[in-house]
Amino acid sequence: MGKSEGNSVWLDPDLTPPYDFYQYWINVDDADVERLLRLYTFLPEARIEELTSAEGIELRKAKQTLAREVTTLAHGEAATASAEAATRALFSGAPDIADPNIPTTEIAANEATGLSLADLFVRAGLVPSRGEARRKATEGALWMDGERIENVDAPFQSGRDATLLRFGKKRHRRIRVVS
Amino acid sequence: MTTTAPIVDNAITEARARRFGPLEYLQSRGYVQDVSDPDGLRQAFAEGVVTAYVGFDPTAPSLHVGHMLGMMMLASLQRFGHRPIALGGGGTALVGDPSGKTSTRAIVSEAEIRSNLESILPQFERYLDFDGNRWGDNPPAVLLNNADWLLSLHYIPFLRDIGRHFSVNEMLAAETYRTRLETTGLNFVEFNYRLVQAYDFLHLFREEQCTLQMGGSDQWGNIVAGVELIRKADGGQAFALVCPLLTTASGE
Repeated sequence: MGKSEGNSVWLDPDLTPPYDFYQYWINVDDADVERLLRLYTFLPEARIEELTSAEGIELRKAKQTLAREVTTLAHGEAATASAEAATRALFSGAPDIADPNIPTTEIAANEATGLSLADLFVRAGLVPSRGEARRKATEGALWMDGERIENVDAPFQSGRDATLLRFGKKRHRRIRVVS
Repeated sequence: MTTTAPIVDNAITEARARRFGPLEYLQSRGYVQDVSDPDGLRQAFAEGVVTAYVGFDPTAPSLHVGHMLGMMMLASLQRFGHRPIALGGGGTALVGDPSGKTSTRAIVSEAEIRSNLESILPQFERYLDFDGNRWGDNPPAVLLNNADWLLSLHYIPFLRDIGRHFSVNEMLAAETYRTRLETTGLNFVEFNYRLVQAYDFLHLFREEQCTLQMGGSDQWGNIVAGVELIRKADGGQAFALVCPLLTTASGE
């Protein structure tokens, strides 16, 4: 319990952004939702039973409620609303990369030149080391602007306003290059 | 995506309407794997304010999802009007708990632990009310650091007053210690961990009228050792309650 793709899920928003925290809860297994609603929220039994009487894709609402309640307890309502907005922006077919709620890492322009893609994932806090970035890329788990990364040693081309990194299915980070 | 407002505290209102006390509530929500004296604890809850504590390992600058069950149990009791103590194990972290570990833990410096406790406090404040009366007439929660009483202990009085209540035969039979003896060996410092945690409970019983310790099921032996110590040393009645150690369906 408490690991997301090998990383600990922290309560400190600087270590685990509320968006990642929210994603952890919204992506729990179907078999766990009911038990987790009882243990990690103060929702009444009647509501939990109603939410979990559904199956399969219908359990989505139960997971959204779990994620919202737990994130609200841990980070407050504003952070939860922002995590929900970022989730809508990133998971609605064509991601809206301009959405202000997407967790963002800013990198100075003079620093950005010379970074490899592996460095970029480390700077974004999505992987702990370049070695790990290399392994994850081999597994096909690293994506940039919707394209799978083949070569993590390729230089980062910082021409655009914003670049969207993705690790696995659910962890996103927007990179902004600032002058 | 729906946008209904979060309903945070309704489970407690609902439980009270069903005439559930705190123990029935914790049981109905799945927090209770084992409890030492359910009838005695039920009666204690009915008779007045119960002070309960959960120990937290402050070896990192943040709590993580694994700590949240303990926080939720304390938060639930406070919403029923009882008094939670979150105990930062600043002293015990200098010893290292062997429970569930196959090798000796890394030791963290005292200064690092104090700084960790400071950064952890705001995280507790989201679950617990440190001012009081947020949910009716609940008493304020307390955050303590066991370094404040453990570091000043004297060895000889400790052996004389506390050590004499422990049977080495019984301790060696406990799974935690047996496993270590059969595999990597057991350091004397770690062997003392159980006495030190039991002493925490006795200290909190004497100083804070604390009569309930909660934790994960891997803590059962340590917590019951405290209940026993309170009985032997002071003739006092205290309780142990542990929650299941959670693994998710995916095993993480």
